[in-house]
Amino acid sequence: MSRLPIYLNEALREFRQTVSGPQIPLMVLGLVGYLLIVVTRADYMREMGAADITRNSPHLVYLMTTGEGFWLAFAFAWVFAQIVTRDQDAKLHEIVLAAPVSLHGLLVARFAGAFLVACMLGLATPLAFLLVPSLESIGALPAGSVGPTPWHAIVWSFGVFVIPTALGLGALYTAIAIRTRSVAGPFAAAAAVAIVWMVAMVIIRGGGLDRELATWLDPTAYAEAEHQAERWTPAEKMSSLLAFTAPLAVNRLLWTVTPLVYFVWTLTRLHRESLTIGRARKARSSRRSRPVPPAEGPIPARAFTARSWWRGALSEAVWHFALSTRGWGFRLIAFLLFVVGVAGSVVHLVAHIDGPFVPRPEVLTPLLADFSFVGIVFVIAGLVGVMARRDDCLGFVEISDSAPAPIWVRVVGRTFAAAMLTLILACVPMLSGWVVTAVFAPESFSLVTPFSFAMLSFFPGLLEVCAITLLVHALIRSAGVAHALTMLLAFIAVINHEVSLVSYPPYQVAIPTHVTLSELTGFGAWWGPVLVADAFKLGIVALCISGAWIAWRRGTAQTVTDRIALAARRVRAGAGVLGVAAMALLFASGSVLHDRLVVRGEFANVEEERREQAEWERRWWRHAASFSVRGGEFAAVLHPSTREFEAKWLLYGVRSDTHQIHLGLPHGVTLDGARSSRGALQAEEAFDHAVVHLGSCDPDCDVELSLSGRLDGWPVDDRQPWISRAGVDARASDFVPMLGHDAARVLRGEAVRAAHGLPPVGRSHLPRAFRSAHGVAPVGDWKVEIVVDDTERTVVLSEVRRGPLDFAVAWPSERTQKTVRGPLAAHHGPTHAATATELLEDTEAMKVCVEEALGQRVDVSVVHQAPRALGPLAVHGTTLWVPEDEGWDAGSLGVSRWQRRAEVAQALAAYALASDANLRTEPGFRWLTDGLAGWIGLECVRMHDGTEAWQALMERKSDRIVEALGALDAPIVGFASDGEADWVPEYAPLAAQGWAMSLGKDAAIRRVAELRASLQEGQSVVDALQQTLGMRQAAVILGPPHASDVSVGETDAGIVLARGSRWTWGGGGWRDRSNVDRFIGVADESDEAFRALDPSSALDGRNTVAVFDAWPSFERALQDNFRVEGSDDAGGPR
Amino acid sequence: MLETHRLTKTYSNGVHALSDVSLDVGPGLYGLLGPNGAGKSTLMRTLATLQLPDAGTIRFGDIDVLSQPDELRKLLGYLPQQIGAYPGVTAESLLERFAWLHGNTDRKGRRREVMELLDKVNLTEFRSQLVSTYSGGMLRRFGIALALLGSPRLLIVDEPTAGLDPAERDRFHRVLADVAADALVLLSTHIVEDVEHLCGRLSIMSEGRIVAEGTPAELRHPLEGKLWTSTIPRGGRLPEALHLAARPNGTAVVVHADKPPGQSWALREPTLQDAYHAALREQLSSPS
Repeated sequence: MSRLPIYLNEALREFRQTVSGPQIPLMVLGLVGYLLIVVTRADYMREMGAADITRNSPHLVYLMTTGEGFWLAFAFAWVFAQIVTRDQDAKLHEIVLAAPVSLHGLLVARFAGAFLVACMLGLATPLAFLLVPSLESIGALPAGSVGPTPWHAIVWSFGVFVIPTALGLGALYTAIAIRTRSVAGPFAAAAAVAIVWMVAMVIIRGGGLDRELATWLDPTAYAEAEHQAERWTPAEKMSSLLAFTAPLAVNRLLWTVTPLVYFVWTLTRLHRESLTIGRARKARSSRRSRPVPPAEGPIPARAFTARSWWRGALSEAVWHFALSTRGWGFRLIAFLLFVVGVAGSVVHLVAHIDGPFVPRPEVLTPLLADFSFVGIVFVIAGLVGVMARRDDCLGFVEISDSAPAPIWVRVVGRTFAAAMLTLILACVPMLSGWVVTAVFAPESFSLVTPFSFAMLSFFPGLLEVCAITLLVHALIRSAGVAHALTMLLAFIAVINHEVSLVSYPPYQVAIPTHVTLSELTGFGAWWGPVLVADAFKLGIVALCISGAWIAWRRGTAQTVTDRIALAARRVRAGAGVLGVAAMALLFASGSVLHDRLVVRGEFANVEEERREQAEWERRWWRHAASFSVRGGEFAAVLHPSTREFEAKWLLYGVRSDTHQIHLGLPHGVTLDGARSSRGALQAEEAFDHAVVHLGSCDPDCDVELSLSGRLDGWPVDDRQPWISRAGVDARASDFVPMLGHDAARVLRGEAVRAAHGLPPVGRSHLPRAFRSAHGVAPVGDWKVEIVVDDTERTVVLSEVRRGPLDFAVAWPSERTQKTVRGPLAAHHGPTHAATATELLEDTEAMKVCVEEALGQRVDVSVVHQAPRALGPLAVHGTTLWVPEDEGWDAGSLGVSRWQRRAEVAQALAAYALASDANLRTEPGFRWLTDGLAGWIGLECVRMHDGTEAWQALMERKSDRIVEALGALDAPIVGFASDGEADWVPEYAPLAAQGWAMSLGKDAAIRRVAELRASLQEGQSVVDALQQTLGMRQAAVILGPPHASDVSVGETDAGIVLARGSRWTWGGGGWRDRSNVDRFIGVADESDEAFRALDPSSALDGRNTVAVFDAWPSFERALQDNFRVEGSDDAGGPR
Repeated sequence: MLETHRLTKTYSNGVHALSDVSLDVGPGLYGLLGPNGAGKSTLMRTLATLQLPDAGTIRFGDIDVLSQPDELRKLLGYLPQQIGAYPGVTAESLLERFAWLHGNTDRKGRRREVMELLDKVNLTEFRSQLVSTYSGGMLRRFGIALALLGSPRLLIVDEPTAGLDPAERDRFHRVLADVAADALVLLSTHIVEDVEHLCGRLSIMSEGRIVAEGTPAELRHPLEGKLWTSTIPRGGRLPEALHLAARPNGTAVVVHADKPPGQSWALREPTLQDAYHAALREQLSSPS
């Protein structure tokens, strides 16, 4: 008799049994709902590089299908565990195993049924994308934001990602379930899979070790999908099919065939006996208890008092905590997280491809927390869930429920135990950090900084995960549903952490509190925001615990009325007090946060920011007019203790076409009044913008502005405040209004503008209407005096200079040390002395290089270590402003050092070009400040460090351009028009270098000099470029971006030739492909390195090390542009 | 001491688990007999404060159990019908854990109580063994120790001796008898012999009702002189019987009648089992 119908029936039964419970529908609906919410969020789409494309593009299908793989890895663990555990739970396993059917056939049939369930779970993403058009029809998405259903991408993703993953992980989990006969086994395997994912994504890929290896190891194949998709242009994102590359093929084989082989091997060794008899049990535990004491005297009477119950709760907490941490599983997970932390730190900093970087606690601690978060969140959700369900054992629920201990004893006991468990996990990255710092940067070792961060930033967010997990398990009777839901919530927390779906800090549940650590300011500026944010998180935790207390199950067969009555009793018994206290804490801390972040601070979500930009544009943009100023005096008194200042700004010789001067006001700054020699002047202020009506004073008016500032808001976006009790680290732009109109505030993108009622961007204003390209006011004779009024008045800056108005001030000076090298001095923290010496060397060398290139010496005398995340590396007056993350983390050798030299040279060159030409932020100005300055930065590194360093920097810049073009937030119009777009500063240096190489270095420098001369004569950037470079070249430079792909190849005859193509951006992608008609050969590090090459000529010159397109473009793939010097072999970089 | 008055419980699936159950139980061992589905476990769980009746009242001494469940729990020990293998913890640790849930928060006293109980159920030697590795009988004994935590004044035990070997069963009976010396022990079981030997009074339940209540002798008394027994060879026609039992040479038949049904029938001394069957039979034949 054929057994096939039996097995088919068994497979079908397995499928039906698994999907008949609430778990699967809940998981599918939860995931579909979540994905639909995600696609409706414009800011989330922007984070995924999908701002400029349809909401159901193939690009999103690939990313979301592979992204959900991380969560499916846990969901599959439950699905495939049922194959073995369902019969055991029902005590039917012996009956089933006694049936006259093949055991192997039975398990394979069940595996097939579970596989169908897994595929059903994997259908959640396709289902969500099929439903996206309905969001448009109900108005949840803007009209036109949904494209045709991406069938090809859906089918491809399902076939390449979902089915192999379901097969492979399913086989792995089934084999583990057979061996362990428990759900815990497959879940432990899922945790191991998650750790492998972390190693692949965080250490290998994030650390830039080996992309292909990362793709192989990544169980979800997200690494490959992201790698391909992030390099796509918007047009490609909406149409491309993911390439089935060799690494992807290896990945699929590795994660499908290997587990299947393991599954088959497990089956071949399996006998009924091993599934019938329990696991080989230990006859005794390893630890025997102390000898039995003699029964002396009566057992003490029970003390049913609150105090005794608190002792009971404490015992309960210790017991649960000990039980959770005693097993090898927890210790292994903690150890692996520790090892991943150490290894991740090494590859991300010490041995990073862009490094080395010094692993100081300020950079290492948040980094470790960041990449440990993914694993720790899932571990907490799993372990706390197990703890919550520990008594769910036949009979023990009833025994617990009939015990006299109030329910709060059990809830509080578990809460404390779960909190202790969470605390241990929150401290694991701290331990990794201590070890790495002690080994690689002992001079920076700190116990306090990582500990403070772990306690105040990392732990509170994780505690929310812990409390939510307890609440879910209290609310939901079915353990399977509760575990599924907590895993889904953990997945959502991870996604929010990765792409910041929720931007308002208090609503960032489960996400660590934002802190930017700095050696100079420590936690100084963050105590307030962090403690209040933590209080808010504590309120959420308390609310969840109150809810868990109210909802915790006690007893059986309760009706809704019974549960409500029970809940009411618990509310009266104390849960209500806890809930009210939690709400009060939430309300109080939430009010403070709203006041400090929104009312007094700068927080606004993307939509609010755009709305304000639109309002600003409607109100002020059309009033822009050319203005000029001869110079003036700026005097300010800063009060760090109250975070206030007042200032007087005298502007001499003000001229304006419309008899108005416009001022962009930094956050917190108010224009209190304006006067001229003839009396008070009328002023208006709105949307952080002020206008002063000059009236009859114009022309050549002297104006006195009275300013004040109060910065009692709290920092957002991890930005350090420039003034706090911890000190002052300020640039002029932090508190001095900017004269002129700021083009950066104009909304970009026709669709966005239309949505806010704005017409397409018209003709630009006259160049002299814009703010200065450097500092806060155009070139003039400026006198500046800055006083800090704390316990005593200290003059921190007093100078008279000609140039754009810009300066930097720092206070108190005692917190920094001074390292002097010739005319240069570095002001730095105590652990940065060695770096300071190197930075001074770099600055000195780059000053010489820039002077040689531009013929102008930049007068920088101080290199200042600014707190982390306080602006970019730049010249401000006579100070080279170097925030900790922009130069002080670099190592002594390698790419990070080269990168810093290039940035220093670029900053010096940008200052020279902008100040010399009195440059405004007019269309095309970035060709000078980012393009030519960036090229000079690269060129200085080439001259100073050689071709290898130059190539390394170009490769990274090229990668960043591709990423920036893949993450556009508005369609590209052109270089001149998109001055504030993220892609412009990335693209400009390589395009300028392409232009310079096409001319040759000396010729390019001569043209730059001519350009500067034209600008000094008052021409606009566009006019000057047209005059200097010609109309055609200027159009190429100021238009959409260009890309080239040149390769050095060998013909059959052994002749080495260069080939190449070039493209221009259009319609959301690269278009107008043509062959490269002129090449540039780069010979060596000499000034005359660039040689024009004929496309048909063989590269037999033994000095030619690289070939590029003679065209203002960036090279898309640099690896094949270089050839080994001294040989005819073409190939990769040296 | 324990009074229930007209307890009624109907589950959401329509099953009437308890119908007007009224009991008045004094100190000592009290038995609860009934077939599967009679409502015994529902009654046990209701008395153990694990579920609420739809109607009725429960008092234990001065305690109104339904409105003061926490007060009763302070005096309660409960052993459910089945207990499973609690994972990853030793018997001693688990017993100690439940001891503090019973209010024994003094560490030394708690340990002494745990050791006494382990000794009482003959598990001292296995106290450091994981509960999950216990055999069925050991688990049962462990459950008994759990139920005895806190020296309960009301001990509710559901099928306590199922799975115990004869020696352990006798040992457990002695434990129950000791407890019953100054507490109320409510014993639910299918094993009529246990009740007959141990309990001063008992109730017989069927279909959610109390169909008989009294001492074993009181329940046996109405059947005296009315029970007849015979062994019918295999294949023979079986008469309508009070109950039947398999024998090596056929089926032992007990009938309830004023006169012997035939010549081969002998008068039978009534047992509690006969009373039990008679009560159920009466319940079935009465128009409910």
